[in-house]
Amino acid sequence: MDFLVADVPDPTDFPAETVAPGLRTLDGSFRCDICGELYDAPVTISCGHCFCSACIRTSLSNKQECPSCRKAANEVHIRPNPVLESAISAWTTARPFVLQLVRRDVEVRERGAEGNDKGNARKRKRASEWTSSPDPASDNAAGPSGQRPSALQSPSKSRRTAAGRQGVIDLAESDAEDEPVASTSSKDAFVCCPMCSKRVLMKNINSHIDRNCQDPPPPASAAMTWSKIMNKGKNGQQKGKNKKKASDSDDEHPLPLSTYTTLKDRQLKDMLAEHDLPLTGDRANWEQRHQKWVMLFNANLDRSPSNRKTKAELRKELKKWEEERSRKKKAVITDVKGYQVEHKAEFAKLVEAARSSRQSKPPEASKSSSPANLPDQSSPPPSSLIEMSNDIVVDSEGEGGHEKSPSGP
Amino acid sequence: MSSSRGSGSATALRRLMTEYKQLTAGGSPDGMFTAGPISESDFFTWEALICGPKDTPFDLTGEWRIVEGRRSFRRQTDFHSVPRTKPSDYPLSPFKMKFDPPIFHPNIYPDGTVCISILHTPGDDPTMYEQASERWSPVQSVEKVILSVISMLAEPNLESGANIDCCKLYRDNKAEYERIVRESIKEQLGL
Repeated sequence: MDFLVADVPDPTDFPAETVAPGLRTLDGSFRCDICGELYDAPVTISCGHCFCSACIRTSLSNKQECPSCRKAANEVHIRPNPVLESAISAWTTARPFVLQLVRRDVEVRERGAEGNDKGNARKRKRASEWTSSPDPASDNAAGPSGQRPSALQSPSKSRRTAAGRQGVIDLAESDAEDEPVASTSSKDAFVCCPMCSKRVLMKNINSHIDRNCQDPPPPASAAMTWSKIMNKGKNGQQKGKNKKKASDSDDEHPLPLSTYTTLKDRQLKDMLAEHDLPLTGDRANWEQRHQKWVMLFNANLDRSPSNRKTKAELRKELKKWEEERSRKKKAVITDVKGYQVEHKAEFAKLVEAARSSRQSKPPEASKSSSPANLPDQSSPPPSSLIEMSNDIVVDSEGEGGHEKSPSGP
Repeated sequence: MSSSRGSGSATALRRLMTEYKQLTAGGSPDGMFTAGPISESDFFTWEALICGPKDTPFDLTGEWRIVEGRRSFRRQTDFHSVPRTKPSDYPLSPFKMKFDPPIFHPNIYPDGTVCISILHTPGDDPTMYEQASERWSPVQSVEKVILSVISMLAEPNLESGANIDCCKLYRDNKAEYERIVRESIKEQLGL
């Protein structure tokens, strides 16, 4: 996998402050300081700092303090932040669109700068002229490429009043400018959408863009609209019902954290069975599984009811997490040649050992040498990896035990 | 080795990718360092190039010119060989950092490992001198750690020395310390 070209959305997608003031900061302030992603189930703790619920829960299980300011913090301090959550979901929707606009704006500016600086200056001035006294004649002269006028001569009232959206409209026009725009200045005229270049009624263009170029929903009957409105409040409940179907119990209360060291194997098994969790692996696995489950479950409760996942989804998430952990213990060799070169000395040693053993036991050699050789070749580095992870497992258990005990009920 | 270690936890990987992207897009303050993964297939081993801070023996400004035009040290930040922690635990646990080749500095072990409080988890305290407030926390980042290391190069912390001989020398005979540092760096840079 090529990580270097993989696209990770982050604040630097937006241009610097001088080009697009505030956008980079805005995107950055919507991100969790721990994972660097847009907040997922944002929560605040007692000091006021905000994190993803899952991130801060994991962090607090490591060390009971705020990662930002290091004030003492505890799981009981966690409070969901639904306002921020809705802001994030709105931003998630708006982000690609804003990015597109910004890129276009930059392009337009660059094109303008290439054209002539004078025209560029006039263009910037246009914003004020536009609202106070739109004078097509002066604007005609200002157009950097002479294509501007066609768009400018078709001012509609709605556009003129939308002073705050001028940037948007400018851009829309600049890209639609080579299209045969019907400059009849009537709202029934068709324009080409700057994003999907579909022909859309002028009066619908704004809502069209707002919907991300999707077709408008079919006109709903009055009855349908009313039933929609009436059902809106029940939405959460419906989800709740679905959840009920998928799971055994509809519990809205966070699960308590447990101190696993005092539990007997049977009790731990019962706890896992209570949530329909698998009983595979050893005790260490059970503890980790249960701990992670409690974390996932509680973090899920911090989402607003409509965004919550079902227990089945959470179980899938848990399974994925466990698979990821176990996968790490196995070494995957992709660059075979590089691997061979790197471990040449080890291979040589193994070959040497195999040869000497063959000399000592000639009758068995023909059978055992080749099958024994193959697994041996790949084993040394993985074994070292496993050793490392084994250490880690033991270690994390120990730490988990220490950290847990003060927080236990 | 790198290829077998490409799979870390998804969280750690995403966070490192974000950090890398921000470092490449924003650059480091004053262009003091560059950092990034060593190979495209392994995001968990990074390499950083640091310019020696000005007015320290690590800064060779005005004395030597280097062919590539950079006064820099090679340094490896290895997210893997972290003792006692899972590499995939990043950013919950810190990574480990090593100067390769090692440099002569009071807070750098003779094998090149950097001893700095920001890279220690609040749990362990090898020197018993550090305050918990200086330790690692998940909101720290590669960039912040490297900046701390740069300031550490300029101002060694003698209270928690990693290289005791170097500490002594720094305290008793700073001129000699600076001479040794200059010599070793010239040697490392092949001058």
